[in-house]
Amino acid sequence: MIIQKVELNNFKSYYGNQVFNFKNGLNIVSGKIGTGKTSLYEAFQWVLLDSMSFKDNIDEDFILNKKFEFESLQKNINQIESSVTIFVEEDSIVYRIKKENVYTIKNNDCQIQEINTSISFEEPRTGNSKVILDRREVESKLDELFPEKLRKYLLFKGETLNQLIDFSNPNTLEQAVKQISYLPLFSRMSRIIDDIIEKTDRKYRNKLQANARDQKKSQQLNYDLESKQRDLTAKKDKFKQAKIDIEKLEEKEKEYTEKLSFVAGFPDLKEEENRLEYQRKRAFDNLETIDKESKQLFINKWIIAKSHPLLDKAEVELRKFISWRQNEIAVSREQLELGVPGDHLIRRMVKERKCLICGTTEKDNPDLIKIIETHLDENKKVKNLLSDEVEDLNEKVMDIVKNISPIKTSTSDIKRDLKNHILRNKEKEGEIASINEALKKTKEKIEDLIKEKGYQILELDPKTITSAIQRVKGDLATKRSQKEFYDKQVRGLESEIRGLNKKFEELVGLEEIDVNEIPEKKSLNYLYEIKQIIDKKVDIEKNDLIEKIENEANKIQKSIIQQSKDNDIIVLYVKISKDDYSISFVDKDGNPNPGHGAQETLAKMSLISSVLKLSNEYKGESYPFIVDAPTSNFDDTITKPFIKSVSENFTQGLVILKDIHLEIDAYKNEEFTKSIHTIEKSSDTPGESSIINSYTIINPIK
Amino acid sequence: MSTIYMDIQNISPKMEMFDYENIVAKFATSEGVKEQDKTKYFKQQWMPFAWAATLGFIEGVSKPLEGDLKKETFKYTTINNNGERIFQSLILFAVAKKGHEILQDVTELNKTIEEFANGGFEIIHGKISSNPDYFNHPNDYINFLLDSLDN
Repeated sequence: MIIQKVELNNFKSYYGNQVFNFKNGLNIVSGKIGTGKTSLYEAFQWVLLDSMSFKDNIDEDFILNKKFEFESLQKNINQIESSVTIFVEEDSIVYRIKKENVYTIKNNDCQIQEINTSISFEEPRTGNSKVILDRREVESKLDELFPEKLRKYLLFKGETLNQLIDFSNPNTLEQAVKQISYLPLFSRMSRIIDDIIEKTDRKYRNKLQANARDQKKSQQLNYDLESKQRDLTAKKDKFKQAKIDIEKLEEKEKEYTEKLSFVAGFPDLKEEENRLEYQRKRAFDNLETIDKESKQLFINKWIIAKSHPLLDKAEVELRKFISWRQNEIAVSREQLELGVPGDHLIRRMVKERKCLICGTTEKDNPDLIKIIETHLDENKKVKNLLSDEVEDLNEKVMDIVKNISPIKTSTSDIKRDLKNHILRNKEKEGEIASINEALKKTKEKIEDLIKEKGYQILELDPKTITSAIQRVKGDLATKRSQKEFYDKQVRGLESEIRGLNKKFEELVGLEEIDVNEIPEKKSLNYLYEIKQIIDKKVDIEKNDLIEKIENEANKIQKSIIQQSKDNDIIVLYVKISKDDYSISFVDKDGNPNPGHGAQETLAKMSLISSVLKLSNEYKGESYPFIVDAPTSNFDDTITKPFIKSVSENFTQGLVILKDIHLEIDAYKNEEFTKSIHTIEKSSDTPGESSIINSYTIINPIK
Repeated sequence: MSTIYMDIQNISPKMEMFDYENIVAKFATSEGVKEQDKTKYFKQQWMPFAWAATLGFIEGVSKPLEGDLKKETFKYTTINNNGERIFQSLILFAVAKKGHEILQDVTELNKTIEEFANGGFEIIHGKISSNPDYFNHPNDYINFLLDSLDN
């Protein structure tokens, strides 16, 4: 079976009707981030897995091409469609599997009206066209073409690889083995035989009891056996229930892990964005503080930077006045000494209350002392004779002259201050520029991730998912120990029942009746024999399959590594335990080796390739293998050999790859590539890209 | 007995309306606005006046006031309360230019400061007219000062 082509009609980034034509063999689709690679993968996922991601209702909103939606709204069209058609050829019949969303536009709002899936083809015998529309019939046909159990291995994303094969969860490989083998069928047969054995055994015991020598004892034994059987059935039910619960919980764990891997890297980027925004805010705050300080200094200090000559001149001017005044005082004093008694004599006259020159007393002239006192200052010295005006000016001069020196001192280092400020400012601005640059890069990475994974990434909280995983893991541990407990009880009861059965047979006694001649006993013997054969077959089948998977996976790995240009890569081999399906790495001598990330990815891819290849051989079918970004974790040297291995192991492979434009010629010239498409984003308005004016363009290269 | 501060504190210096509108109001937050306008370098209106006056004194440019005048401005007490050193400097600059006698004539003292501020405004206008974006960035004021120091 091969996929001939895929038609995308206004689906996500694909505007209008766009077609990918594929060939038998290896097909490559390559493009840069955000060009529409994941949209192509999601087209397959939407049709074949009936889901885009985790929140179908939200994703349905993102299916319709936004440019087409915008144009339809503008043109007032009532009904529009978005669809994906996969053309599959099997046994010379071409099946067109189409899924479409029909939208109605009302009041400038676009709403999903219906979602249809159909399969159409031409009847080979009659040549008439047939269209399957009934949902159940569609699903049944789809299951024929792409078996549901295999679909998740046939179609997956590199980043969800861990959900398919997880080294720490052997159950994942066990599931894969079950999907491709007849083991589940054998288990079902074994269960049916168990059921028949139980019923036949009851009949057989009743017959024995009828023939028993000691009826009372045999009745008691039969009663005990019935009771143990009931207990066994109850315990088996509980065991089964625990198993079902475990499977459900494992599904949940897988779902949450898928969600967590979906948001991988996003929380770290958001945290980085927040950290950088906080740093930028702090840097701006610091800059603002520097700015505030500088403004204060500017107005209080820096603007008088060149004022020293003026201050000097002012000081000269003021000192001139001070000197003049002092000189005036000295002159006045000198004049006083010639005609007026000295300070000492005047102080005596004031003290003795009489004029020592003429002998006049205070009694003779009451105002005499008051008059003399008006000529004395507070130190009882004779005042100078300068005017009040001069003294008033002196007050003012003295008041301001004392400021000159502090002003000059405080402004002596202004030039250095200014230069330091400019430097601090530049440093801070440089810091902000580098934060802005880092922030821009982080925001671009976030945008790329949103473009690649869709807006639902914004709605998933990794903390909530992680705690949900923890809760599921706790529940799983409880259920697993319950399962183990019931398993032990079942085995104990089975052994007890066997013992009781033996006692029962002894009671009957061989003289009266040959137990082996009882038909039920004969049936039971055959049934036990069949069961033993089935169990043995299951063991052989399982071991054989594990061995084949192991060998095939190791062969694929070895061939990939040997073809790689890097000779330093050590070939590690996977070893699968036949007891519990656990996977480990060993070197060529069989010694355990922990391996590393890329090696584990390669081993997982090889295991899946091997499982699918065996499935194809085992069930005589061949299915296409569709994978998105399988090599994101690989070294460049392994990428090409890996892709080549896909071409070798699958009839048809569709590999969606990151940008390979630098090696496009090399890939083109390779014999193993049958078709190559590159995709790019184009915009109606060059240089300006938005969701409503940009769309994916497909370039068939080979 | 009085100090020069006591004499001048209640006087408001005048300025030309053109300077008020194109420099003072443009570079400083309006009076009565509590929050500083972050796009403006000065947070009070007396500041660009004091800057212009200092510039006028230092560069020796004095210009009599003409035309429409902005009379209701801040008082000298505002300068003294917010920038005591600048207030003291302005008085000292006036003394340097006009002699100590100016301390006896507060009207003349105020007129001297007003005219040198007017001269300073003219220098600032000169800078803006050659480049309208000058003084758009806080560092422009500092660079302007550094330039004058280097000269």
